[in-house]
Amino acid sequence: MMFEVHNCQLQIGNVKIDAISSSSTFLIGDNEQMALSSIFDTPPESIIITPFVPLGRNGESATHG
Amino acid sequence: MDKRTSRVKQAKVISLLNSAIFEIGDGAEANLQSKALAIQKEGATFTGEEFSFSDFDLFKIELPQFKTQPAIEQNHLQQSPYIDVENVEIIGVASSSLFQIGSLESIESESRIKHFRILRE
Repeated sequence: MMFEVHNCQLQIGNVKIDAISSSSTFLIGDNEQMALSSIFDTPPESIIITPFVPLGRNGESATHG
Repeated sequence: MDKRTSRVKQAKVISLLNSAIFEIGDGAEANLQSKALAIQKEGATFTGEEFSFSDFDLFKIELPQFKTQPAIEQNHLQQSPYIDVENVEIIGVASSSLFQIGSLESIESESRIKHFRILRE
């Protein structure tokens, strides 16, 4: 399989960007290989309310009177 | 594969912080890495040593990588040798990010962020 690209006219007017953050890339130009990976973690229990209030045992529904 | 020339009339970047890159020109390889611990603690006075990266395995997990370079038979014909952009306005480039005007062969970037909130009762 031959992948052929004809780059004719590439003209952009205005670009407005608020932020480029956490290892992101904004490239005006050619590129061959790009590998961007990101991992982030906000598990529900990341809200640590002290003292710890158990919301419900596993399986038991958490509705109270 | 011959690279095109990027032409930008006007570029305005207001702030570049924690190891961000603003490059005008060509490059061969870019390797960006950022690790962040986002802590929101109510009524907190931070001393800075409470949390270290090694406590969390989010910063140790192996992220998927390209094993071999994908070999695709390709042919690029540049009718126009230019990439034209009139105006670029960017407020902020932050935490090891890259804004480049010009060509760049390969980019490898990784970002790991752990958020948590500690609220008082």
